[in-house]
Amino acid sequence: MNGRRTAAAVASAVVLVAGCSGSVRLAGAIVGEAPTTTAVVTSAPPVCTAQQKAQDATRSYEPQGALPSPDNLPAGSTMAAIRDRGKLIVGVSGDTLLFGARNSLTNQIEGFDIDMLKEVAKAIFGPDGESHITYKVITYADRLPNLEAGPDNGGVDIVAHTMTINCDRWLRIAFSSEYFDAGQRVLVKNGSGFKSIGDLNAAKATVCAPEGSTNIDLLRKNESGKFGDLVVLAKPDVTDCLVAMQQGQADGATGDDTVLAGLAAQDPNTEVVGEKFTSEPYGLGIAKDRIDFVRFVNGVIEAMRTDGRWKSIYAKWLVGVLSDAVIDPPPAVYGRDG
Amino acid sequence: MLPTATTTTQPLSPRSRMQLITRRLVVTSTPARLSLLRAGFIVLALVVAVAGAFGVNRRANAINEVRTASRQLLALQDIQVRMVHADAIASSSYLRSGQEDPAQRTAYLGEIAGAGDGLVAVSGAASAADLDQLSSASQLLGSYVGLVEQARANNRQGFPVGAAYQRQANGIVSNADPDTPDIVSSLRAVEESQRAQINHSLASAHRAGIWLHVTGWLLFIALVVGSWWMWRTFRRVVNIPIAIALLVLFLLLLIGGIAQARAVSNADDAVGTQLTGADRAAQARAAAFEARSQEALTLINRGNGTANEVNWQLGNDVVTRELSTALGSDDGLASGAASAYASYAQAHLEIRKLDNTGNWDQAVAVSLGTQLTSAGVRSAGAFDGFDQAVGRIATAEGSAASARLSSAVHPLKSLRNIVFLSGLVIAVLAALGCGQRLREYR
Repeated sequence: MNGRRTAAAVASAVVLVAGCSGSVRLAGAIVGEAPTTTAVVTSAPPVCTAQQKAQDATRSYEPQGALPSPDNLPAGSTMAAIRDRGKLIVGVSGDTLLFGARNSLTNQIEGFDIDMLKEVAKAIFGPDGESHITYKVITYADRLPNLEAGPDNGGVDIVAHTMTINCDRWLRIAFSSEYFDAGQRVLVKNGSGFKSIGDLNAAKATVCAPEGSTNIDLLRKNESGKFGDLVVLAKPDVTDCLVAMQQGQADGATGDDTVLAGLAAQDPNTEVVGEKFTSEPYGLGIAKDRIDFVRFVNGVIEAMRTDGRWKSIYAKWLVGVLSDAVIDPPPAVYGRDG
Repeated sequence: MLPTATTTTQPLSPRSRMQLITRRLVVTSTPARLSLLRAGFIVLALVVAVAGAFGVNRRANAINEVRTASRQLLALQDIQVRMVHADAIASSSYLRSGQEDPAQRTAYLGEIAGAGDGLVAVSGAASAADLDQLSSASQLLGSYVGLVEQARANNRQGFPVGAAYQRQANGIVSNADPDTPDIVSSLRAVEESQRAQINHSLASAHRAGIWLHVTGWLLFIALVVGSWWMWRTFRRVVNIPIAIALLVLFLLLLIGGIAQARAVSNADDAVGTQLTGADRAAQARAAAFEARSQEALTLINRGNGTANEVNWQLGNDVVTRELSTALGSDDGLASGAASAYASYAQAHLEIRKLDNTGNWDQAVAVSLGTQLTSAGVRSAGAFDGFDQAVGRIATAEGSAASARLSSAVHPLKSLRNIVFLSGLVIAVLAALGCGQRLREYR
C-alpha cells in the first residue's frame, strides 16, 4: 500500500514538474444585471359596447361656474394639489413637429399642444405658469398608461399629444372638450402616383403608423373593409415612420393631417395627399377619476375659444401649413355625467 | 504452423524441428539479446528525440496560439470600446442644441476610423466562422455612420426626425433584441470565440508536456534495467557510454521539465493575471461607455428614460462589479478609476433626479459637464478620469500579457532542438555501450 502511494506521489511530481496539469482559464464575458422590477401584468384594454359607441365621444364634463383664479382654487381639488406641489407634470410628444417637438436650436419643446398646456399652467400658477411645467416626452403607446399611473407613480397630470377622443379610451381615462379637429390622411413620396389611401390599398403597399395610435387601430381592424390589402408597418413613433419611408421600408405613412404636415415639413420629397378619411377630435387626456380637473381644463379651453388665444396659437403654428387662414376652434360638447 | 492447444498435435518433421531450435538459439543467446537490447535502446532514444521534440514544439505552438488569440481579443475589445465611445459622443452631441463641439466631433471621427481600421486588422487573422460576425459588424458600422450623419443633418436643421435616426443608430451599436443584429453583439461573439481559443490552447499547452516525460522516463527505466542486466551478465560495474547516456537523459528530463514547467507557468500567469486584468478592464470600459450613451438617451427622451435607465443599470452593474475587486497590478490606477467612477455614478443619480423632477435643462448641463453637481463634481470630467485610468490599466496589462507569453515561447524553441539532439546523442551512446559488450563477448 505504501509502495503504491509512493509511486503515485512520484508520478504526480513528474507530471507537475512538466506542468501537464492546468486549471487557469479566461473567464467568459461579464453580463450586467439590472435591478429587478415587478412585472406588469397587461390585459386586453376594455372596449365600448355598441350602445356606448352610439353616443358622442366628444362629450366632456361641463365647467362649473367661472374659472377660479390661481389664488382661489377650490381647497382639496386636483388643481390646488398641483399648485401646492409647484409643478404640472405633462406628457407630450418630443418629435411631432408643429404640435410637440424639441427645437434642436433652443432645446425647448414647442408646438400647438405645448401652448395649450402653457395656458392650463397659467390658470393654475398665474402668469409664470409655464415655468412650473415638467415635461415628460412619451410615445403614443405611453399616453394612457402614464395617465393611469398618475403623477405620484411616475405618470403625469395631463397629456397633450395629438390624442384622439374616442369611446374606448374614455373607459380608461377622461378627456377635455375637443380642442382640435383633425383627420387622417396619408403621406407619400413625391411622384409616387399615390393620391389616396385607396390607391395604396389597391397597390398592396406598405403603410406605416405608430403603435398605440388610432391610426394603426383603424388599419388593423379594417372595419370599413377599405384597408384589407395594405401591409401595415408599426413603429414606436411617428417620426420613425418618416425614417421608414426615407429608408424605403414603407411606401407611405398614415396619420392625422396635423402630424403628417409636420413630417412633410421635414422632408420636401414627401407630400400629404387625399381627403381626410376619418375625423380625429383631439382632447387633453386626464386621469379618469380627476373630474374636477377635467371641468377646470374645459373652463380654460372655453376661455381660449372666446378670448382669441386659441386662434393666436393656431396662427402661430398652423397657418400656411394646414390652412391659409385662421379657422374657428371646434365647439365644446358637454353633457357627460360625473 | 505451430501446434495450438485446440488443435490436434502432430509430430514435427526433422527439418521443422531444426528450424525451431535455431530460432530459439538466436533469441536466447547473449549476443542476440545484446543486439536486441541495442536495437531497443536506439528505437526508444529516437522516439524520445521525435516525440519529446514534438511535445515541446506543440507546447510552444500552443502558447503562441494563446498569444495570438490574446492579441486578437484585445484588438476586438479596442474596437468595441471605440464603437461605444463614438456612440456616447454622438448621443451626447445630440443634446448640445445644435452647437457641435469640434473637439467631440474630431474624437468621434477618430474612434470611427479606429474601429474601421481595427475591423480590417482583426479580419486578417480571423477564422471563417468569426469572419461572418466581423463582416456583419463592418456592414453595420457603415450603416451606423450613415444614420448618425442623418441624425446630425436633421438636427442641424431643427427637424425632430433626427432623434429617430439617432435612436436607430444607437440600436445598431447595441440592442436588447437577440434577433436584431448589432455591432457589440457581433464583436462579443468573436471575443467569446477568442476566449475559448485561449482556454483550449492553454489546456493543449499543458497536455503537450507529457510527451517528453512519458517517453524519456520509459527510456530511462529501460537504460537502468538494461545496465543492470549487463552488469549481471558481464560482471562489469560501469558501462561508460550508457552511464553518460543516463546522465544526459536525466539532465534532459530535469532541465527540460523545469523549462517546460516555467514556460507553462508563465503562460498561466499571463492568462490568469495580466490578460484577465486587461479583459476585465476593457469590458468595464466598454460597459461604462454604453452606460454613458444610455444616459444621453434618457435625456433625449426627456423625463421618460426608464427603458434607457434600465440599460444604464446593466452597464453600471458590470463596471461596479469589476471595480469591486483589484483591477490590474497598479493599485493607484485601480483606486483612481474606482473613485472617478463613483463620482460619475453619483452625478448620474443627480442627473436622473433632475430630469425626473422637471429640471431637464439642468440635467443636460450636468451630463455635458457644463454645470457642476451639487457636490461640486463635473460629471464629464469624472467619467473621463475613469476612462483614462481604466484605459491605461487595459493597455498596461495587455502589453504585459503579450510580453510574458512571448518570453514563454522563446526558451521552448531552443529546448525543442536540444531534446531532438539529446535523443540522437543518447541513441549513439546506447549503441556504443551495447556494442562494447558485444565486442567483449565475441
